[in-house]
Amino acid sequence: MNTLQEFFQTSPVPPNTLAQGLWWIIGLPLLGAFVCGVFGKKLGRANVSLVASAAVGGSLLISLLAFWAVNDVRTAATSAYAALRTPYTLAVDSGTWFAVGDFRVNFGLQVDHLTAILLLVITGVGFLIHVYSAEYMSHDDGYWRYFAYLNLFVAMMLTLVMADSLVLLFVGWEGVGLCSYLLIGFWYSDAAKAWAGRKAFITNRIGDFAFLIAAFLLVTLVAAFESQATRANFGFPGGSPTTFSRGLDAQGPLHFEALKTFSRALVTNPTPGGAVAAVTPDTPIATGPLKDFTYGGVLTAVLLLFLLGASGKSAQLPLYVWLPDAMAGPTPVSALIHAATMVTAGVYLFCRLNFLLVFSPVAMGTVAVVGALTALIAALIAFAQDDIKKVLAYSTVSQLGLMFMAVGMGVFWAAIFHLVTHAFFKACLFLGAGSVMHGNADETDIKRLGGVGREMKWTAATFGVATLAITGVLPLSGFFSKDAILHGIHQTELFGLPWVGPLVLRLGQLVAVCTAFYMTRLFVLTFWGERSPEARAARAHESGATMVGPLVVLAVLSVVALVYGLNLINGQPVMENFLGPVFEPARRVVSALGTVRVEHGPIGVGGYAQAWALALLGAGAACFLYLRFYPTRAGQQAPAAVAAVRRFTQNKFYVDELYELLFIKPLKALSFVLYKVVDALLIDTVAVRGTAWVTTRVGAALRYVQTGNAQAYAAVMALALVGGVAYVIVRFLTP
Amino acid sequence: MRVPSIPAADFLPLVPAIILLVGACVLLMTEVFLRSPSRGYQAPLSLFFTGLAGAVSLSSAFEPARPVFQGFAAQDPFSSAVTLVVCVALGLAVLTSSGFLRSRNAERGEFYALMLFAASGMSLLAMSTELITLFINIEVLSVGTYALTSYLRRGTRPAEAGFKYFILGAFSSAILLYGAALLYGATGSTKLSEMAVVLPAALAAQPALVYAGALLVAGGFAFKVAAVPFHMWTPDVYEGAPTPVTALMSAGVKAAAFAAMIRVFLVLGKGMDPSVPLALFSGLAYLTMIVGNLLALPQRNVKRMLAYSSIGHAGYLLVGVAALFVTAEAPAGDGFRFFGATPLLAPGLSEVAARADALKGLLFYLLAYTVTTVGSFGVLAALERSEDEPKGTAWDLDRFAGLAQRRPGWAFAMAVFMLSLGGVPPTVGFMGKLLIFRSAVDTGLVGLAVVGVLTSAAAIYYYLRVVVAMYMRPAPEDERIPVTLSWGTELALALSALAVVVLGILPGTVTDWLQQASTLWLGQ
Repeated sequence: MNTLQEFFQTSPVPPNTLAQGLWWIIGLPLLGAFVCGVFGKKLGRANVSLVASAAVGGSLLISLLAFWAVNDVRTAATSAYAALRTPYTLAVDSGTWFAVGDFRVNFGLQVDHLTAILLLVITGVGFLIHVYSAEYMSHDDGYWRYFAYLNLFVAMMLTLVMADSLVLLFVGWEGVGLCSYLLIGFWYSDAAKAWAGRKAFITNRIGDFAFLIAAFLLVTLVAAFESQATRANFGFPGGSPTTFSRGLDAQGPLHFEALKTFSRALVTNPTPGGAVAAVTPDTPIATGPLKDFTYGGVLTAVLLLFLLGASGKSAQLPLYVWLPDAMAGPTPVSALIHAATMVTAGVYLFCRLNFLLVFSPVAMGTVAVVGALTALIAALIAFAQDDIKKVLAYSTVSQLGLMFMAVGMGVFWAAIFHLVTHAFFKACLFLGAGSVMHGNADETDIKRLGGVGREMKWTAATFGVATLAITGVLPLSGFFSKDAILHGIHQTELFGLPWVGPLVLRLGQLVAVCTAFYMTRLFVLTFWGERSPEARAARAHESGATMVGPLVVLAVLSVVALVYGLNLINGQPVMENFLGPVFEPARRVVSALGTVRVEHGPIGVGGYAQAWALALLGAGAACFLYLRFYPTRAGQQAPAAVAAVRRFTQNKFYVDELYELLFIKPLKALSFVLYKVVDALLIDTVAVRGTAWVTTRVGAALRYVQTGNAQAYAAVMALALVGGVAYVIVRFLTP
Repeated sequence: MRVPSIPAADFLPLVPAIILLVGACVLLMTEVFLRSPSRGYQAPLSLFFTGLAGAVSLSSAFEPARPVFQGFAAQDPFSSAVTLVVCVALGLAVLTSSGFLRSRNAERGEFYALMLFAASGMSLLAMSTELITLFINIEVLSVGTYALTSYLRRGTRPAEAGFKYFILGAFSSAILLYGAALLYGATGSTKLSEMAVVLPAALAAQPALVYAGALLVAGGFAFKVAAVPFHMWTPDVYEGAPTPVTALMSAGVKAAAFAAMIRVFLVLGKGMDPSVPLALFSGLAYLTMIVGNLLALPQRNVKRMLAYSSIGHAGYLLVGVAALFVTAEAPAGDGFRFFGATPLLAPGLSEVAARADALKGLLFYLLAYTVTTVGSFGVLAALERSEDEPKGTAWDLDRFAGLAQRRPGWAFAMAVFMLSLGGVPPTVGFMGKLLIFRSAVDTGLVGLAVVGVLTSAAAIYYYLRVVVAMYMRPAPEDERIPVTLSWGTELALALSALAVVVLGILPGTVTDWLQQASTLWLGQ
């Protein structure tokens, strides 16, 4: 065991050398995107997929080295904001990116344990999906465009997780949104698909707006703190007001280390009633535009705005509506962007800002409740969806809700754990769905499929493993991650909001049952039973090796990821131990403020049994209903009440229609008025055309002065001079 | 009679002008002694002399500023830079001339010789520091250009243009001379450096005489730089003159006249209330920018449009000139004041630095305008057909229709020139405007900068109209392009387009150099 530990703790590349090379992790896919986008048409299909996959593969290799290096005991990054060294962090700073007045943003990357694990997920799953896409997209004309976008997406997602400041993170955040838009609308000649892309983009813009406001508030908040903080605030080792100010001058206020130091200083209060009073979260802000608000209050507002931002990107209430429509894109895109990576950006954001989130139980409770409600509603809608990708999409929304629950209750490591396992099994499910569509002439209606398992053995087997994983059947990884979340929630109580924990826990268990039900229904209807006579293809064909290979790898990963959930190191689950350094600042805040109360205790056998029973209950119910009760497909008879409920859920609770009525229609009406009156009439006609008309008229009128008569020219000159001289004489000769 | 002793070193600054004069004489001699019917050698020969003069002026550009010929002239980096700009304009004009003249069967040595004579006048004008010398050099360059204007004696148009130019030019010279006489009367000297010393006393005694004299001198210069209301000759003369000559006039004459005007008023300004030249040049700048650009708007004749545009550009240059006269302190009492608050330097900016910035901007703008405008006149010269000239359609916008399909290279070059004249990045015209307007804002001349930007925006309309015609209008069916391709034209277009783009993207080297060139000899 010790030798193994030593092996992992000695990285082959020295950390300082590797830090300088971190750019290549982003640079390779970016280069790939450039090559595919610019020369793709000339390179030919095989070369394009080779370039794109190799770019991500190279990125994967460097990511592995980075992952190795952050385990190295020698690895540490210096903080510019306090005389501290952050262990297990690689960081590189390339100097000023831009500076506006005192506000400054540096261009830098950092890799800690959280980023390292996400790097592996992004490049690993990304690589598999590139390989898979090579065959899946082999018949498409926009082949090169597809790989250029996909590579660009990977680069942007890597920027998002490697950014060392909120500003660079936002670049990645917007970049992945752009790529998502481009790839959802990849088949833009189909109007519905183009609209789906637009819907995703606009919905995300709402969240991005909130994100920006939150970032601006944070800048103001840190600036106010800098002027107001006292020596007592910096009573921790290495802290001092001057170092903090110097750090802000050197690297700007939105660097994560700046925010971390800010959070630490805000809770440092060594001597109550000491010589100098420290600034606490309850202190009113003394200067600036936020005057008289308390630090804690503004932080709550910032976090709620970040929640709106995250709910746009991670498809939570009320902004989840774009994700199901995003299934218009190619299926591997759904697997990579809309299941494994991009949609988890909101979870990543809160885990990255863990030391801020724990300041506010209100914000935490809101995050948890939003997550729980989203998880439940999405699971209910998934019950009645017949499109194989739609079911998976709602399932993704639901699982993201689970992660938000964990984040909201402060169980960050479990959220990341579920993020990782979910990336594996949901990517496997989506790719499996893609394989099913590929072998069945793009049939997506599960009512018309059936019996596919006999013809597509590999797809069925891997899909089955992933279904068991998401259902939460022991001993697959999904069981451990989901149970880690529920167990963590069970042990946690938010200060002042004791009802949130139990509520979220019950909802979570309900979601677990629902998940088991709809996933089993999906699997049973697709792979078991008999082929429906309405199916497009009479016989399915199994996909080729480059598609099946990634499926197998992902299925294996969704089993072996369970290692992360085992209590192997220091009596903690591997993942909790591994992410310990990342969430240390949050623990410090919690112990100082007491915002979260945690009872530590191991998971009992009873808890395991309960969770397993829930999964089996849901799965069993689905098996019973769809194998025994509704064995035939065409013309299913059902009681009227059941049919009505089904219609209601099938129409997604009419949320889209509600939004249409409440927001889109009034906005469109307003825009129409603005367009007609303000734009077309005032700006276009009066301001633009009017000015142009007047200007040309004046110019045309001036032409009449230009007679071509030399005497007239001389007269004008003479008049001007006479006028000037007359002015001079009058000015200086009259007393 | 006392013979002044002139050291040999005083002749060194004259070397570029001497080279140009020698070149002109050589060309005239070849016309007499070489009997060969082909005159293809003349353009390269003139180009050689031009290049030599330019190289010499560049090599002397870093000499310290000093007076020569007992204060009748001065050698300073400023005059060297202006000479260089003149040589660039002359070189490009010579290149476009060869093809132009050959296609009209009019290539003769006196054409190039006249161009070189005029250029030597421009070079000497830039270094004159005495009013009589100044006047003579203005006449040297003017007589050359008068003759060149009516060089193609076919039809009434060239004769009319030449005659108008001559009459009005004589009128303006008379005004200048009258102003100089008044100043001499007030100060008892014609040397600028001596006048500056005596001026304060003269002002106290006879303010009206001094100011009237300065005003008349300014009027004479305003004619040469085509500032409103002394601009009216410009469109007629520019249209009537052979196109390469127009190019030389719009670039070289303007550069030299601006140089002389800046020198005269910088020296005179030391002796008088600086708000006088400030008000004078601001007023001229406002009028010139607005009227020049407005008049260009309705033009369908591209050559006239470029003539009006050259008036507009004189307005932008005048903004830079006005910025030279802003001081750190508000003038005592109520000086001349136009349009609201008295302009002041931005805090923390010294008068010397502000003036150097403005001079750098002016010189860069002159260079930028030279390469751009000579290039665009070059395209115009290549496109025009002599049989259209009597009808007046030789330069109509329709001649540019569909040029992008027929001559993609020319169309691209013309588009680059138009964008540069309009001040669109990444061209040199944008950098020039940026420098000029920045120094206007730094010196508190916000009104001028705002009007400058607004009129530039309006100007985009008529510049882009040419681009639209070239790229978005179909070529007329019966259109025939003169097939006589000339290496000179192609080279001139390539060089100026390259300069426009390269200087627009990497202005650093040139602006660094011009920063040093912005030192003038202004007397002790």
